[in-house]
Amino acid sequence: MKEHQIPNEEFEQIERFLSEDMPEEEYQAFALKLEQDPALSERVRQTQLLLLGIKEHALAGQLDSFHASSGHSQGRVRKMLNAKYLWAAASLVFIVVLSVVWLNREGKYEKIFSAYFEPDPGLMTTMSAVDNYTFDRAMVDYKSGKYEEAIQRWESLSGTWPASDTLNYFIGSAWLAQQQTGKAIPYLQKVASNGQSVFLKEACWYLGLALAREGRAEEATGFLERSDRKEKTAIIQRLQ
Amino acid sequence: MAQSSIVKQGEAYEQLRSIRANDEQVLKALYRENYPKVEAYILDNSGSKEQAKDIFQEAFIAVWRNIQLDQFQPENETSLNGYLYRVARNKWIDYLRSAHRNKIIQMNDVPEPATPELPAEENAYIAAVKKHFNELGDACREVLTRFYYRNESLRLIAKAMRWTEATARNNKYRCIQKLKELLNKNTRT
Repeated sequence: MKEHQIPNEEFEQIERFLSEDMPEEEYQAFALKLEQDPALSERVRQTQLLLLGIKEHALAGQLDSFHASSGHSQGRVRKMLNAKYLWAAASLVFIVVLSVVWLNREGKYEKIFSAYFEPDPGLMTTMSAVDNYTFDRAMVDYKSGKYEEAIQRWESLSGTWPASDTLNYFIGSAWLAQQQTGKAIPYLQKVASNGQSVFLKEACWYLGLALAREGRAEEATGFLERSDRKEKTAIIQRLQ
Repeated sequence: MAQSSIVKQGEAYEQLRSIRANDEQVLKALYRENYPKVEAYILDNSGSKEQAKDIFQEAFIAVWRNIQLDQFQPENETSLNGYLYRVARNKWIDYLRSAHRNKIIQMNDVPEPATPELPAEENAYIAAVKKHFNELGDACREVLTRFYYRNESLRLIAKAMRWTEATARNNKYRCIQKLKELLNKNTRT
């Protein structure tokens, strides 16, 4: 398939058309233009396939993690009438029942947190500027799941950058990734109280989840409402 | 009865909207809900767990692609599950038929109509995009995945990459151009 060169302005217009992110009048006008211009139609189709390929690549990259978290079947269940097996099965059932009882007592808020929490993926790191080395080094730790090491490095910077939203946000995120909601909350609260912060909406989201896990439903609702995640409506309903 | 059918169809369309937007929770739930039945089918029909996983993931991507291209219309909220199962089953049947061409395969299933397929040239183009995507630098892969798959705004991407929003916009375009250059080289060789 011959690769068409498309200027950025047209490319963005095609993107907006394909994602139906256009005012109705503009959409209809573009659709009409497509019918009348085969070359444009070809460029649009190629762009659609290009973007499909990019998205499909990303989806394929996620499937193994879906598989790992799926708890899929262990194959066929064989019937065994062995007494030892029956005792082991009965013990397991007893433990499961106890766990269900315990989970139901504590479980509503924990379940909400587990269902919706994904750690912030972190920032791209350059490891280039000397004065940001420690920050970037900590970010590498964070993205590798070494949250304790990341927190230690970032906290060492808090003397240099005392009011930094970036530091507070990521220290909070690192505590939250370890499910230490009590320790995460104060850091995220500092960011959520700064209306100018670029991390404001994300901080509200994570703070909402942290508060939900702590059973502080009303406070959680307030912060979730200020986030821009579409899942917030479902969570707020579950908190009521 | 008619009202509840309309509601269920509405839920089905809502699910499709979420899949088109690559909502991770919805995709994960779809995977979790449907894998066991496909695995059981393949294990019952001469397959292994590894083959079941591969076939299911191929089917999952095929169904996702058809949804992205508006080639799947649900009748109700369980239509998608049934469709995914049929696509996986057909892929397994195709595999057995090609792997055992000289043997008679006893299958109790009624043959299903083929799922919509793209023309070979378009399939090949998408495969080339996926292959060459891996050759882009980290920053390009990150920007393009965030923008097109995770539907993140340029503002959010700029924040993550520590760029201005204008830089994010320009870099996104440059990354697309780099990918197109790689694809161009591919067609010329």
